[in-house]
Amino acid sequence: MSEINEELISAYLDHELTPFEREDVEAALAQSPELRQLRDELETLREDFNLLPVHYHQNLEQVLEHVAVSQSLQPGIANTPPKPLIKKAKFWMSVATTLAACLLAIVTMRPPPAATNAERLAMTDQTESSKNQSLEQQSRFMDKAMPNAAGEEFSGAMGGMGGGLGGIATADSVSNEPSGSGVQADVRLAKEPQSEASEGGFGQAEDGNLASGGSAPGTLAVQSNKKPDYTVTLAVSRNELTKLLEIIVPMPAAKPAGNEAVQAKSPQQRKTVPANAADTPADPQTTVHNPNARQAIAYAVEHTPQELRKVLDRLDMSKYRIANTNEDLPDEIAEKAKKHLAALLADKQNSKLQVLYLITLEPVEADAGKEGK
Amino acid sequence: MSDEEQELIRSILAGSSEAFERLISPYGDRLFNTLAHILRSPEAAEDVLQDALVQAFVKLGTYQGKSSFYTWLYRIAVNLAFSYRRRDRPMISMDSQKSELGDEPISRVDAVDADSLRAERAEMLYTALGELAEEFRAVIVLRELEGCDYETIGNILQISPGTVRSRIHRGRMQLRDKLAPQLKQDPSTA
Repeated sequence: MSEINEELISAYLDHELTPFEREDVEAALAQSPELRQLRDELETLREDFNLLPVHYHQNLEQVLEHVAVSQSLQPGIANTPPKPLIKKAKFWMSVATTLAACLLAIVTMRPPPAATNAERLAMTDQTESSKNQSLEQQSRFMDKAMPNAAGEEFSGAMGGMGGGLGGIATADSVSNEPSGSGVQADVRLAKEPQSEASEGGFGQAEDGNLASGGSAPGTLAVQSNKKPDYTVTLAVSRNELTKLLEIIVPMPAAKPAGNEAVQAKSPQQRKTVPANAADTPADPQTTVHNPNARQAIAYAVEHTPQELRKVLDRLDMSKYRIANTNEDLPDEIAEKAKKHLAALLADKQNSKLQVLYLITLEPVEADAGKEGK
Repeated sequence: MSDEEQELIRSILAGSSEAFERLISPYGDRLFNTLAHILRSPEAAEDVLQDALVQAFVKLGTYQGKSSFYTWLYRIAVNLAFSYRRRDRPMISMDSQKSELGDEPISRVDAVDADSLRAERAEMLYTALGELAEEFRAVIVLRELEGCDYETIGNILQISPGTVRSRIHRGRMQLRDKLAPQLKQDPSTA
């Protein structure tokens, strides 16, 4: 009895043979009592699987309900994770961290005067230090520009934009510093599907702070009571954030920072804006970045349709945009996304579009690896 | 992917929370049973299922419909199950509970009835299945308990149908060796 015949017997029982193979096996069975014995034993073995116990999940409905509920968080929920109905603490860790990653406070600002343009770019390395300010600095600016931003809903905050930059909130700032009166946002699945092959990205941190299983870039979006008109998902290395921000919001040459400027001297010294930045100055003890962790930031910007088109064109030519790879999307969805954008640009010719940029900051280590490819 | 599933996925992506429950419900219990047998522990299966559902939810936007939703969901869950077993974490398994309690006697009753014989056969099979290497156990569970064809198993485990066929056969032969006495016994007496 040859090995191949034994394997064919097994496949024969599973009806996984071609007609020709089946004929061969039946001919062999007719001639070989050993093969018939093997067939009978394997058949008995298969039947015995019907005797095995069937396991039922005791709380499946609750599990499903809780995962589903996470799609429609109510404002403010980031501060107090929901009580787990299921005893599994681990489950809630994964759900809560997923949500924490997404509850990014969207704080918006009016267009800053030219003198403060330098302040708009923070959280960078010092390669372009003349343009950069720490986020701590930006936090101060936000205090001045939008003193009442905290606690306002996204709609109000977005309404206050006039082409200026949106505020930044990072995932770790949300998780480290619960925002008592942070901007409120819902979490829903984005309408911009990503490639199945895409890994990591928004909502995921390698240090485990965020989604346990990881979310693909753009699969989660921040939504508020007033939805952004358009969401763009991006990934960028920390060192290149400045370049990316220049694409999103082209700005005039920055003036040298004033006396109050605090230049980030190393990645470890960068600061983030906490979700409640407008209320509470950033606490260096709790907001220092981990340069090796992947982080997500949300950036709200107001564009005219022409500006948006220009920005998207530039992003399409860049390596940063990860949500527009239409060739990776099912045709139907890609077509829908295309139509949505076309309709948006056509319908709002005379008004401003509220655009949400979801940016994944790649860890420093990953940057090195990527550049090497 | 069925039209209904497509519609449910659209609804989920549009923010419907109910749609997610409806999408998963048909598979939840079956998936749990499969995981419990692969992991040899309902407790571990509970953990992995929960993680899998969170991942499925989070990654739904990346699902392109190239494979069926069922396959996609099972792929996530089985991958997590493999990772779970590789992690060094305490696990309450049926096997460990059994070892703590000691082996159960095969039969204490003099008058052996059909039920006890079936229970005995099931236990022996369960034990033998647990002794298989993970790669063989997974294909056997997906084939025998889930009823997946080779192509589906290959899609879930991301291996070729030929590899599936080979693993199923080798797994069965190992089970056959372990269970030789009971397999040679006339099943009609059981």
